[in-house]
Amino acid sequence: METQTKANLLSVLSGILLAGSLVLWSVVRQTPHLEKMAAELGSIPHYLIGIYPNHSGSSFLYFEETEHGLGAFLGATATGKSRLLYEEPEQGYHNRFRLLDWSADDSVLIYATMSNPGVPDGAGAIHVCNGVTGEAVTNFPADAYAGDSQFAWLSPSSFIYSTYTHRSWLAYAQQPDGTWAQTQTLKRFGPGKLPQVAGTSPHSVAWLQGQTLWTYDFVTGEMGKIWEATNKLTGLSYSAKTGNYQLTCQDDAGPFLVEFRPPRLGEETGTMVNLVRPPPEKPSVIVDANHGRPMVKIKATPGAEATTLVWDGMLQYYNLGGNSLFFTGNRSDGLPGVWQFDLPSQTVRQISSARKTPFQNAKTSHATTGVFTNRDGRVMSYHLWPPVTGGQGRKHPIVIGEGIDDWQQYPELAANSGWFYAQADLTGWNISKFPDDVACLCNWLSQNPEVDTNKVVFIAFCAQTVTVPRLVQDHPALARGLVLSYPFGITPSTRWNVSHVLILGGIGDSASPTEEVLNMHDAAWNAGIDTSLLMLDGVQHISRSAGAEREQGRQFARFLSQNK
Amino acid sequence: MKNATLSDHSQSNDAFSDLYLLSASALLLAFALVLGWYNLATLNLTPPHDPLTGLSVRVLFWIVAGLFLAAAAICLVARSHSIRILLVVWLAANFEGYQIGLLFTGSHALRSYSGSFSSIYGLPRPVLELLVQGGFLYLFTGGLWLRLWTRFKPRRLLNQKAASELLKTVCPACGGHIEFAAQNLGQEIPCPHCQKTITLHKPDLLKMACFFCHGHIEFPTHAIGTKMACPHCNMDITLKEPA
Repeated sequence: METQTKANLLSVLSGILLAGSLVLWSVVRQTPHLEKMAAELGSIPHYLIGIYPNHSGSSFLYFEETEHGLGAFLGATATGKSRLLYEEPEQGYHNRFRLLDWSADDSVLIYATMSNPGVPDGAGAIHVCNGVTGEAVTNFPADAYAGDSQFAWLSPSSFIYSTYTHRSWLAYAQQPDGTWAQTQTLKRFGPGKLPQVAGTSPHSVAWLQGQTLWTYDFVTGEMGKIWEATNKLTGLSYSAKTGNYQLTCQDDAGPFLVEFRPPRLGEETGTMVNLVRPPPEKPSVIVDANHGRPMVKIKATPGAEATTLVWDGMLQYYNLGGNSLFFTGNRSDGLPGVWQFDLPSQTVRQISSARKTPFQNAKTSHATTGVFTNRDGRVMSYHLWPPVTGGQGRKHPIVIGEGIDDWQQYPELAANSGWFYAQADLTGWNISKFPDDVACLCNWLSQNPEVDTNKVVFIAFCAQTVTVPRLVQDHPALARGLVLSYPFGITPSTRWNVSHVLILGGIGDSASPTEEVLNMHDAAWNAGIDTSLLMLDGVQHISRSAGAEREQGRQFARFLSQNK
Repeated sequence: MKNATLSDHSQSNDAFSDLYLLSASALLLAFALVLGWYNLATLNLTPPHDPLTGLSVRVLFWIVAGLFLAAAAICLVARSHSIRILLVVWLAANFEGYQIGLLFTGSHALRSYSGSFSSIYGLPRPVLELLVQGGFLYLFTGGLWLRLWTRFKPRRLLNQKAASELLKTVCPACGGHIEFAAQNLGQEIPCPHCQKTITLHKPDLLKMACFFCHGHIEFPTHAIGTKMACPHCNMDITLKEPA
């Protein structure tokens, strides 16, 4: 080989070696299991919207993120097994699913999907399915664009449903052979939306209109005002057993309940047969944040003593079903799941977990709860997640933010990346207090010898980001980096004393328009701040798919790892 | 036909250029690869816009990496030293000019760039800045110095350069091409091809075609009448003055 060729080869090799060693170093320095850990934690679906048990508590409807969007599931209380009823691609806060009701014996579950002309298969429909197994029985086209379409049972096997802007009502009934069919389409019989409507027979309804009670018969077409109250009418129910109405009323002396018998044949007016003041209590669930350890007071039956549950963890959605309180949440050292609090035995049981298999790479951090005092003198609670490896007697950087009481991947991701994560609770939250609250929490945590308050990353979500400029300007020594999730209304400048920023956003987010976020990114870059921007396609102001959460979590973990 | 070069120590200036160009190629290649890897490592992220060019940083980096790669290749294969050096100097000057441009527009984007590279490559920001600034400073000042040196160096050195220029001749015995420094003219050396002792003459070459194979043969004037084997077909021929 000639000398020149050898020299050229040597030059090329040197270049590759020089760059290769840098690349190799960039790869080697990453925690080996970082990506896998982030993928595991990011894949844990969030519970959304709410949890709705049936009357007996044998099944429950819940909403959980799927890989690409939102899924509505029917879960069995006894086995914990669930069935996907409906899934749609993520649309931020919007979703087309509306639970209408279970039948009185829980054998039938009826839900609606709202019309959305903007998506494929976006026609509205009413779905009738088996209330125990979730198996689809039938579905009917029904145009309804708003979630306030009304539903009422006429009998255990028939119901009505109001469609688009309540201009018409559709009546459906189960046929003798067990199938369901639409039996009637009715023109609007009341003035627009009827705030209180109740079925009174297989072919008639009653509703409240101002201070009056009206009825309408589908067969005869007769409509009439049967009662006019001298006070405010706030609630209506109908007892098929007695044939009487229960009307919740309100006057200057407070609420009361009237039992009203409708006029019989030959009568011009009905009769008020009973009046109870105050009205009997309804089943209720009251949650007190209790400085980070939710205290739940449950009254399942009227007049009964309240049962109390103190939950060491986060409690998100809850509802009564049968003799149980069903809720989603997690224990302070565990992952989110669906739980059942049995009222008679006062025991808590986990029905199902959001994570079906054990972790291979990630660990859960055991969060501790504490209190601190903010600048206004208000005692606030906070959660602190330590690194999963433990403090080990040395200082660790910390992520600080203000959050809500539901499981998020960020604290666990931070803990698995060797960071502390602290979250001031949002109870009594005032957005303008965000900077001071997190600064106070940071000061409070500086007493912890294992927390390095010289290496702080602030994390802010949505509206909190508006106050970030004040946070970094009023407390310039506190923050080294920022994580801004769906930010808006801010322009980074050289006055921001931070070196690293991670922005998480979505293309299609109307609250944080893409153009605004891109300009924010450019401004930060121009101001000398190393800024990473993750804009996920199809994600709106809040991510509602495991896929989006996972990618956001991955970038968050990388951000922490790179800026440790 | 094979070539052989009889080098000599007086070619230090060309050696400097060669060294500079080889190192420039290596550096440019390294910079291109580093930019390329950065783009790949940040593929899922939305890049910002470069404040000076208005281009997406990812697009800008691909363009710059492509330019660097092309320049590195040109440095290795092009014939003219001066063009190669000028190319490298031009590229380095662009980098320096870019920094001055940012300074004038009041942008602090250089900090963002170095911070971002520091995050990706895990090197402290000052070390990274030192590597990049040092690299480009070397490319710029080194190339500039070489160009100025070639143009303005003292006559004594020019003579030396002249003396060190390479001449070409052909071995009268085997016909192999030989390059040698002008100052070695008249010396007797063993032919690097056939090892027969020859005297280095000025390259006053004659040309003829082989009687048998019509292969092209070059030979010095003093070799007229010499019998030898044709370097192409190996038949015995006599070197004759061309008609």
